[in-house]
Amino acid sequence: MIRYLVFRLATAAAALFGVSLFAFALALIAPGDPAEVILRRGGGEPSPTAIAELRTDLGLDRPAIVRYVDWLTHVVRGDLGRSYRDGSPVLGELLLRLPNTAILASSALLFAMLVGLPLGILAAAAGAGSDFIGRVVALAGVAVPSYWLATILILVFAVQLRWLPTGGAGSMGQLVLPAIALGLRPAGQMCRLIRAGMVETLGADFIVAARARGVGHRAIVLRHALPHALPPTVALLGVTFGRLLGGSAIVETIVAWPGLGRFAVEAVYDRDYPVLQGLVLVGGLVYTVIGIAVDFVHRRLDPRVRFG
Amino acid sequence: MVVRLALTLLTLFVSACSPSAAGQPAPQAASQALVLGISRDLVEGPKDPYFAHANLQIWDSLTVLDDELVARPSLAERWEMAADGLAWTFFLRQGVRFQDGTPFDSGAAVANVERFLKISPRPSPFFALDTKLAYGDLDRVEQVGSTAIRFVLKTPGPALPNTLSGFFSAMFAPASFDANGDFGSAGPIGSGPFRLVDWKKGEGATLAANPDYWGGAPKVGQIRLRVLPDPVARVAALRAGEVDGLTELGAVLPEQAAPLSRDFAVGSRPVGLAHYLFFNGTKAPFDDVRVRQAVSLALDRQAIVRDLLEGYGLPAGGLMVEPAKRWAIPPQSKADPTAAARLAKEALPTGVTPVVLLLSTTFTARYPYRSLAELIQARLAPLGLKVEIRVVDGAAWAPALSGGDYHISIGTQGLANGDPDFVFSRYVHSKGQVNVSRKIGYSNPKVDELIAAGSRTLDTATRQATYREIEAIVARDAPIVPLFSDVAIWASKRTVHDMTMDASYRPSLRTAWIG
Repeated sequence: MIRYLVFRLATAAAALFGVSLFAFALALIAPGDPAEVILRRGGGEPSPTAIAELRTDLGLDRPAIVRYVDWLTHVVRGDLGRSYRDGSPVLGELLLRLPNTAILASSALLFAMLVGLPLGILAAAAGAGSDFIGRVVALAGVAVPSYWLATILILVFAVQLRWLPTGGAGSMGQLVLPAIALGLRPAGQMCRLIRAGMVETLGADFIVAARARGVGHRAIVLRHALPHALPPTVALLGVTFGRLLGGSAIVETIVAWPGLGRFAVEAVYDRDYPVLQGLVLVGGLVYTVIGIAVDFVHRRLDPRVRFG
Repeated sequence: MVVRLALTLLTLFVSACSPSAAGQPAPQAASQALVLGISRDLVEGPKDPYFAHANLQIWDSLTVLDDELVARPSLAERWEMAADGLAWTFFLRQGVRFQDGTPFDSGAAVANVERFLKISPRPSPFFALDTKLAYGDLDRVEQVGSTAIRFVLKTPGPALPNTLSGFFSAMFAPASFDANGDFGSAGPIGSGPFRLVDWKKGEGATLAANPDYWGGAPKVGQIRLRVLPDPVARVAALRAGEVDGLTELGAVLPEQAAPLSRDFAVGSRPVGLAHYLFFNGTKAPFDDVRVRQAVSLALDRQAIVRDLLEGYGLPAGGLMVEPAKRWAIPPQSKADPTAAARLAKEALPTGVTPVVLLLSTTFTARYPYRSLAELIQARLAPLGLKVEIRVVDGAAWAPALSGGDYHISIGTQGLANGDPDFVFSRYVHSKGQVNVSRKIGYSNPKVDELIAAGSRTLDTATRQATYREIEAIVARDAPIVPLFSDVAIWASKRTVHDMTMDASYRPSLRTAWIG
């Protein structure tokens, strides 16, 4: 198992290297010059000389390969460089926001599990009525855009009913609406996955055998059928968590949540390459760690799975 | 097992969530605190030349612009120009102290000017610092006793009180900055009505009243600003009672104003921001003045303001925005689609001419440019111009313009220092920075001559005549088509009083009160 872990970490490092190179290359192709972006802020009309000077200051006039290798050598020392926008250290800025986004992503996932899991089980095992409800929720989850849902939830629960705050960060109440907005889609997906997995399992021979032995319905559903439906769900949770960590910019903007999503979008508009490369690296790292964790959970759930 | 898993996660999650300092706003009891929602972050931090935006009123300047964009006294009580225009003496207000107790005197003022000279040019999202724009052709700045300072220029600068107003003459206690001109750990120590107590990047800031402010103590003890970037969520926060008002740039959109006015106090005023169309004059079809004139005649500014902006706008007369009463001219001509069609027929080849209208997301996020572009598309179609609307992000817009990779675009221009030379020299002088970098390609020796004269003339009436002449020529040649100037809208609970904005989007923080 240790060997497997080492192997996974080694391939993860290779993947991170590849991803960072890809992100760097994309940055080279994108139109727009970070030096020009910086100098144009606040209504500036920079001369070509001023732009060229700033490019030199930022090291942008060096050949691409030199810049990449320089960045890489700093990264292995734990230095992700400084933002072009305001010179603040990239790692510091990411670490400031990553917990906020992680909290939001975790809450959304928790909501998805609390809704998707029971609904999926009920849909599979509690009759046609529950099945119908489950399918409606699943459809709503995948059809409704999260930013629209966030706005509607705010208008109803914050403005009309005043049960919850409209946005901001720092208290539990402020987490609820964005967590629901982001969590409904994975909830719907989970519901469908669990339902499909369980329906398939519930028709298997060993279930029939268990019923014949007199095992109760609840035990059949929860202890015998559910573990078989869980592995793909765990994989979905992992992927969803990774996606939520990077992709909730619009919802974060709507609820004024100080997370990575908004930060990332601003960095793209600013062509703030050190920040973008740092984000790609951190994102890749998180995805990799989640992937390894999912594999281990999968192994725990299903003893037939072997490593390697 | 699943239940155990869920409970474990729930426990972990709850213990990981720790409420931080910037929590929910406190209930509006008898406490003298005002909570305001704003659309953008107004505190940039120590690397910014000003640390925080002028509108937070943490710091003062020598002069500020009034509602007609004319310089009026602030930290400078009055000023005198030498007869040849080569020196300006600013007489400083007496008895002013910075928030750390140190006096504001000529030593402090000169230290601040020298700081700017040292760090210029320095970018800022609020107002790019450029001491050449601020002070003109400056030879030196010197103390005149302890109560005045003098700017000595190499060429005449008739508009210095205007060009250095606001940001460009921000004054901080010398203890705020180090020998390099960077802010230290004490933050921005100004002489303004408010002190910066605390701020969180991208989230908001807290201001405490400065009871010793020379212009009169603020009526509220504390102001908490919350950054709410989404316009729908901003209004939602007001309706939910989480903020007392919405203010500053882009606070309320035109279409939100009418519904809000049923339950809240909504105000508006014209501001010094112009919206204009410009052409790539270096290639067909807009290298032909007739096609440009046709476009200008085809667009009904009144209808744009009425239909797109719900009346929250002022049709533009010329390049100078309406609040600048000293310089602005009224709308010159009405829309005339017939004349437009005639000119287009004369100048364009038969059939359809495809043109690209390029928009920047920096603007579309804030102004209804997409709808405006569609309107333009519809109005230019009868002229034989087939408009393709292309939207790119801000960083890609500038290179597209300088590469000439467009035919028409739309932009905004503020008149931040209230002086016409700022706009004319950049846009319509043949070597003007904007003219050149955006391939507007306009060159008229008469206009160049008039701009040079205007920048040197010391007499206001002569300058007015000069700039009116320039406006008339530019209206005829149409390298740029001014469309409308902005009207800013704000809203607050009816219990909030005296909350307004000036022509530079500055909220009246000092005089607002809750009762």
